[in-house]
Amino acid sequence: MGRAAVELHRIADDVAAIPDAGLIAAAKLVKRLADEQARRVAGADGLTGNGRRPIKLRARDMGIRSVGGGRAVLVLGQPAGPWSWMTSGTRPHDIRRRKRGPMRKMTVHHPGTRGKGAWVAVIDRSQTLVPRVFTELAGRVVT
Amino acid sequence: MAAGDPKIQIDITATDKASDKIDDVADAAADLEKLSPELEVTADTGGAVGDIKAVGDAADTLSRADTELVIRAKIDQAKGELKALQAELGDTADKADDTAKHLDKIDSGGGTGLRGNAISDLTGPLGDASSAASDFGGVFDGLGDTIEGVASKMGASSEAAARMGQAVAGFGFVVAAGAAAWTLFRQRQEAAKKAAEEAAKAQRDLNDAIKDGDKAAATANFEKIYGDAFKAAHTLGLTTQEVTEHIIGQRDALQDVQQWIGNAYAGDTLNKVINAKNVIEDMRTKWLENNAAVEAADKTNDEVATGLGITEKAVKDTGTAAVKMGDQLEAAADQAADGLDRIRGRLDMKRAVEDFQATMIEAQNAIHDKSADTVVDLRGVEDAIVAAGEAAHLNPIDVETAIQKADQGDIDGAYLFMQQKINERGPLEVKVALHATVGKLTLGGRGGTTIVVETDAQTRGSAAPTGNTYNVTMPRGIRTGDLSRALGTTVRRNGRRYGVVTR
Repeated sequence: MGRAAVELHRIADDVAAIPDAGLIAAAKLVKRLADEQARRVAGADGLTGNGRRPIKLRARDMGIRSVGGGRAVLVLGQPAGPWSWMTSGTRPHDIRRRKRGPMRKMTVHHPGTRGKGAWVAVIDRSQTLVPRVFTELAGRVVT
Repeated sequence: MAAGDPKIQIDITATDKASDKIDDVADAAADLEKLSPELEVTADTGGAVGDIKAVGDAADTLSRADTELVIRAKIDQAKGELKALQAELGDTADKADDTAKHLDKIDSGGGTGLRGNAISDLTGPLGDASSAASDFGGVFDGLGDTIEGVASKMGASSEAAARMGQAVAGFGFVVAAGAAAWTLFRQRQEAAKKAAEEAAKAQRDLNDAIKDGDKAAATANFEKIYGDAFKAAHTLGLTTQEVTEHIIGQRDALQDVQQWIGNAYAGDTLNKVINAKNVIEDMRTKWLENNAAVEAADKTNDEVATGLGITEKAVKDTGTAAVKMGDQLEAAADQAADGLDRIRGRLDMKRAVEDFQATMIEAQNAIHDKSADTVVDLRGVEDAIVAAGEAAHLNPIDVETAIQKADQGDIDGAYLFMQQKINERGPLEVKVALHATVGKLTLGGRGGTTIVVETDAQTRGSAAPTGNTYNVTMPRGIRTGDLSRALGTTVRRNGRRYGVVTR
């Protein structure tokens, strides 16, 4: 086989490896973006309650799987509830009272929160940055 | 979760459709490479080869000629540089001699130790040797006064003077202080030492003369000290040798004399003999005392030398301690300067925040009074927000948020928002003057503290003791007592009553 054919076959093999390599890099990137966003909205210690254990906002990937004619990786924000609070806020609701006093009322009213669009920001940044990962990989393979 | 909220997940998919196509192209290329095309050349190349050979010969000739030209030019250049270098070397040698002569004049043949090869080596780096050497000599002249003069007054050796010279470059004031102490010490020690040495010199010379067998010198010195003893002995008929041996303890001449006296003399003659014997005994006692004095003087000298060594070490220790203390003082001065800078920075921040508060309160008054002729200078408010944010090193996003609040007419919101951000920056204690018309504030929203102003309820004559309820967010460090004091009335916060504080 001639030199040109060998080189072309090498490029073909490298291109075939792009999806998995790119998905690994992309998953790492999205998780890092989620961590940054979590620190921004919840602080370095996570969501600190009133004397409760802080809730750390994280993101984890569920591994690479085959879908249709390609490959895919799913990145989940966990725990989903607090991520949702930080994204969309909460409706007004009642919560357990936190202070001692007369036992007339066991709950107090919480006015709700507006949310900070945390996961939306992660999605926005991922949509911008993830394609660059694949573009860079493709560029390396061809050159 | 509200409807339409994003799911807390991201699904990334990647599909490869290119590698198969590239493989197809590669296979096609392989097939193409299996072909072995042949290309026939039928043209007559003989003339072309001849022309090419002629061109090659011409090129060889030309390049050889160029090479020779370049080499010749380089040799000429090298010769020129060698001549210039030779001339420079000659100048340098002359300058070195001039410098050495200059230092000879300055040093007057003294002990600077800089003449000779050392200064010749220095002339190269010095560049223009004549002027530089003059400066150098002037500097060293001053150093000589400072170091060697002091060191020689101190009685230090040449090596010690050299060490002091090196030390003075780092901590001259220490050496000066040490020199003063050393000079005083040396003056007192020298006086004592001189007296002791003078007293012992004659005895030491005599001992040396006896030890060296110098009879004439020994005799002269002996007679100089013990002349009275010889005169007395001669009256008894004793020879000089006998008296000398008796004095230095080699024989007991007086025993022979006493025996001789007992056998031959009586009366006045005996008294003379007894007197002479006493004089001789005194001289022997003087001999012993002088020898003891010499030993004592030697011991004193040893103690003086030890004392000088201790003093030298003490001076060095003092110098080291002084340098350390100087470093500590310098560090303390730096820390003090840093502290002052921080205080100035805090003062600047405090004053900027105070100006900001004054501007905001003025704007609040203008809005709440609702005077017909009042126009809120929004630009002034914006400038005040930016100035306060810059002084407090606030996040530009926070400053922009406050400006937007002010632009939307929410002066109170902008004020409290900025104050909150400023208070979050650190323990800057700023007296916050809450506006007297806080009851009209339309603050609310998330969080905050429920404030009940009781006077509102009383003035309206309401039967319910709840008064008006306002939900406000108070800056960090502001207690409900401050609010009560600003309003001049009693307020309740989360059910707790805070009375009016008059102070």
